[in-house]
Amino acid sequence: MSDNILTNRHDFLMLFEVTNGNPNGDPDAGNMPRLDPNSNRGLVSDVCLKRKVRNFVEQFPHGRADSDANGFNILIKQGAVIETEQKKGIEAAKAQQKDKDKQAEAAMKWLCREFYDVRTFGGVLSTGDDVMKGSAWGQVRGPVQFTFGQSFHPITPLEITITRCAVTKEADKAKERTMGNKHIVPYALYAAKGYVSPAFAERTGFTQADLDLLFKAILQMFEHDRSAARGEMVVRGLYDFEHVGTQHENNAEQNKREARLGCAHAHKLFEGIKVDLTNEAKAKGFPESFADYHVTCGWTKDNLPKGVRLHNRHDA
Amino acid sequence: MSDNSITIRVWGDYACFTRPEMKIERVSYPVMTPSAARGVLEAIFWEPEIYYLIDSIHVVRRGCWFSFRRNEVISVISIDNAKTWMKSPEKVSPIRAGGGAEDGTQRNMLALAGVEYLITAEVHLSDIGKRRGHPIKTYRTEIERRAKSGKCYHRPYLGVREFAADFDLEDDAQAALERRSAELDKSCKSIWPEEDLGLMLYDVFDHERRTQGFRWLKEEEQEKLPKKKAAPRWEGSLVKPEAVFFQANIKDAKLDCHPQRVRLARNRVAGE
Repeated sequence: MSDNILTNRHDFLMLFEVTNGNPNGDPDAGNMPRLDPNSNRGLVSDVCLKRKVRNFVEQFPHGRADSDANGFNILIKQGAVIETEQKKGIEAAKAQQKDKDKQAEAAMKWLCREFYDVRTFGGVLSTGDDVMKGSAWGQVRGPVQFTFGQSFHPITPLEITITRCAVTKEADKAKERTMGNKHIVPYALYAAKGYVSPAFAERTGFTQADLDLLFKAILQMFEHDRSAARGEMVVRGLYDFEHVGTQHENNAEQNKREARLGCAHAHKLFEGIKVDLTNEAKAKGFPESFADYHVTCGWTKDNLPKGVRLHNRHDA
Repeated sequence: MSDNSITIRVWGDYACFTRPEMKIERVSYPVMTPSAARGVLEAIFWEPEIYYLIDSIHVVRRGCWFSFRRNEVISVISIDNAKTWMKSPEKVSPIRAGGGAEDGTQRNMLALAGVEYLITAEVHLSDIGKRRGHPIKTYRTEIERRAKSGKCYHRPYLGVREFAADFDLEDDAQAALERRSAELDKSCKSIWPEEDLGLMLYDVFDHERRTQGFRWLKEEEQEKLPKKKAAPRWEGSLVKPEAVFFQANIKDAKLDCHPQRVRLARNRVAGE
């Protein structure tokens, strides 16, 4: 069952918070927490979140069912890689393609089968083929799309000065201590959206099991990414809208077609999740903790658009 | 309204319609390009039987500029390497991303925040569609049905995939512009009165060659073909990407981009 290629569209909303930490530094501003200068709301880049997912999958590799099933290696790794660690569990392709035309296609399929991140997020290939050069063919478009994370309210980044007991420069050796600094956001709640397009899942071989792993990785992405700089980061919600089709269950064929395209506007589904400051927090003017927020899900079994199912993945 | 015309409203938190002359550090055009608009429509509905011609793009919210620096990956996955890896997996060498790694680098992006557009497009039958014989109305109603109920083949985006877009169907662009600007407490005249934007990318896939349509043949169709090496695996015309530019002008919040009404700058082979 779980080896089946994903057939249903999913739109999901991630809520996560930071307390006394820097969720995503801005290299343009001396590693200050990213913020949108127009609204002063905090930002977290899509690549930052995807990196967390990649690292989680790499750290806790899934066993593959058999050598033909999808593998869970990561192709785009963070920083320097220790050579001996990397090649576990990569399987060679069984059938060698003799037809030259189809060799590139076979290589693409093999990359998708072996590497979880290529299968999920896609990647750019160099084809070297003159006709295809510059065309969309040189791209594997992954089924999973992440947007930027945005905080609900303006953030006030603080610069904290710290004393370091370990000096970094030889010249400072006699000082024993030097001053350093770091940036923190006292508290902020962020939301990022994600979309899964089944049409691309068919091409990369992205399965239901892969999606389950993605949700598991999102829920636990900060648990294994602790650092003094990041403070406390917690995923507070993962609302997954699954499109299943509006027809009677006997009409499986039609439902499948509908589920692939979706049954409702994604923006309307997301609007049903309301995040507000509590009255006390409003009086105070700014949020200090998650307790200052009211997160209410306006969707019930009765008012959810037909053909859509809501999974609260954070409850599971 | 002609019977093959559709209007779709798209909006999103961010957008980046990259200028080809500044592709290393991405810089956006100040407005959506016709090819980005085509991409949005094709994300919602596309079949080899049809092609889109973008008629005009109305700007509801111009957005404000913002810049963003991220760690990006400069290496691409080489197919030749992958072919080697398939035979001997121990040769796999991953791409090393992130600060200071050999395949990673920091790149800036100058993008737009908070944009909203109305895309008006004509739907035309391609040569493949003419052979199929369905009237254009069949396709137009399917697009309308999808846009109205939020169905899409894949999630549309504003220039780059992390800037996902929401969309909805509109009956008439001018009426929608007036309604939305009233909702935003603006007069639609003041959104963007007039500006000459200079040369702008029209599309990289020639619209005159897209009229023939394109589709890959299914496996069983390929088997029916004579077993010659040169037999193509597709029907229609494989359009080689080639940039076409046009003189972009905004007037009353409208970017006119119908190929019959704008001046296109393109490569012409003598005698064509």
